[in-house]
Amino acid sequence: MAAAPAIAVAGLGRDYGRVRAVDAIDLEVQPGEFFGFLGPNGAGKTTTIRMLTTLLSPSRGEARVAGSDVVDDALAVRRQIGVVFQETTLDLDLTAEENLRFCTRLYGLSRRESKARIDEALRLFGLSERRHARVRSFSGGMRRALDLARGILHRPSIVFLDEPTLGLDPGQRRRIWAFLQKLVAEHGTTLFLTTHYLEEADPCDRVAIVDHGQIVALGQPDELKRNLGRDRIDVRTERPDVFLASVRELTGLEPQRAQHGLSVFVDDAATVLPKLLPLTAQGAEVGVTRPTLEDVFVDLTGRSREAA
Amino acid sequence: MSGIVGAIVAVVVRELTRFQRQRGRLVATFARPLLWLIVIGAGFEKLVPTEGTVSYKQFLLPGLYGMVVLFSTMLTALATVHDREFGPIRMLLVAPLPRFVAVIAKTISSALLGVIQAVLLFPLIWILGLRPSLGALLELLGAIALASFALGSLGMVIASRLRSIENFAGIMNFLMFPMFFLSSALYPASLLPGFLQPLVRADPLTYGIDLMRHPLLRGLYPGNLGTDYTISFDVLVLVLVAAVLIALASLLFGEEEHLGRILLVEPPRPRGRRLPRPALGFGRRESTAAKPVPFREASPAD
Repeated sequence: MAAAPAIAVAGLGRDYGRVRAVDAIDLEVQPGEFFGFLGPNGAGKTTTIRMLTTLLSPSRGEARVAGSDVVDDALAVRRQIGVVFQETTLDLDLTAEENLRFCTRLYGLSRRESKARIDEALRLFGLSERRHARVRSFSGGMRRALDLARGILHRPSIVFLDEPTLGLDPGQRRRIWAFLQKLVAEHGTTLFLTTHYLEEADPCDRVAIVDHGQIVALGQPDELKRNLGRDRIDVRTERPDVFLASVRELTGLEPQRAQHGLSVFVDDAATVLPKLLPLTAQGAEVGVTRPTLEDVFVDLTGRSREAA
Repeated sequence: MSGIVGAIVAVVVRELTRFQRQRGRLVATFARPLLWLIVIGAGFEKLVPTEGTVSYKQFLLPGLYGMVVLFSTMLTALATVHDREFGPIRMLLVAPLPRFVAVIAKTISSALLGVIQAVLLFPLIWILGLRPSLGALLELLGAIALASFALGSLGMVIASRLRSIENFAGIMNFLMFPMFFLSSALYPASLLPGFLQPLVRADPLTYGIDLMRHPLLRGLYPGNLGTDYTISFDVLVLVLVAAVLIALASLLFGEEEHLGRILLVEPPRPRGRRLPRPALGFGRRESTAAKPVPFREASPAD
């Protein structure tokens, strides 16, 4: 028999007045899984996290986290979870260590245990040097790292992260992802993470793509991308309308509009690419790359994330 | 239980550390009451004929302690609104603690800050020529603590209802100033006309300041500048106010729908699809994952 799921959700939904923020979500996350909850802004990601972390009660459906119902047994859920919110919850006037100590006090850790955990967390997130510096002097990336450190200080078995990389530059984003992967590998922690940067979710074991409060795709990132085709051929042009018909004619495939122009998804670029080469004479650039989760989203919803 | 104590300690330490680092707040603590004492106190002293041995400034002093406590607790309440959305109170709300712990912890730290700021102004007692006994000083300290706690719990009720701190001007004009002027801080409450008396009596600050005035004016002949109620009545009202408001704030704090559920306004949550126990796997959905799965129509919550 499989282990009990870390998170089990059935028909979960939430309305704000007459606005349906989350329609009806079904999903299951296994212990130790790195799960990505992806979608554009306003898709219902934060509302879902708020329901799973007992901050918001659902309008319908049911959710169990670590085996306990999020409404009927909220305290049992909170005993097992760590939460990193989209907005920082740090005290800018306190030092890194003082911010972490707030958390170890909150969870009733002994003085010795508290010191050991704080040392470890600061080392893990590369903040040991800045231990006694006020958080006000920290960069955005360092603040986020400290937020993460605080969310996991009490060693929760399930950690929820709402847009942990929001507002960070690419280098800082990569560092945060590296921390998260380390956390899963070293502690076997279950991670439930939301992001609207679809392209960065590849390290996740599985992802759910949400749109308008519904899950439109669920699976391993590679599997979702492979369903589109192994290769993506890009036709780079400023005038996609001009080339739309000819791409359709030359390949027999329906091209997808993209920021760079047009894309077609194929299983073997070598057989299709030569057919598109004549377009280069008309001023378009043709190239081959791999499909991304962004492409999966566009394919499923028929629009780009930016337009969403 | 240890978790609750730990959480209260965490919040109190945090508030005290912040207070000590915010110089501006310390300056404001001194500036506002001193301004009132020096300007209003001096002006009124000329106007008010004293019948007893108590000067107007001596009468005003407990009112200023009341003012310090009022402003301090209300500012803490507004900071709580911010803390709940962007600060450490959020951490508290996802920690394995009942909601009331957040309220108690914040009320205690709010009261503590009020007491500290009032105590910093204790030298005024001697400067104004009052010579209280040690016992009377401790009594004053207790009165300030009790008033701070009652006003702190009022602050938590307000904080639980506010969504943003933009309402500060409203709170200041429609709550803090009326509470101060109606409170017997500036004149004995009995002097106000009859139609204002219900408001005077509904103002917890009235009893707080009255309670502070008792030990400070003891042994003097106050004449027309005296206290309004007995010590035991003041204590009783403040304890009741604090208990009721803390309970109310605990109910209201957290999410907006809590109130609905408590008042049974909100219908029970429809359970649509139930989770199987133990829950089943979702292999079916994975296999159809790449193409849009035809989702069931959004059913009205029934």
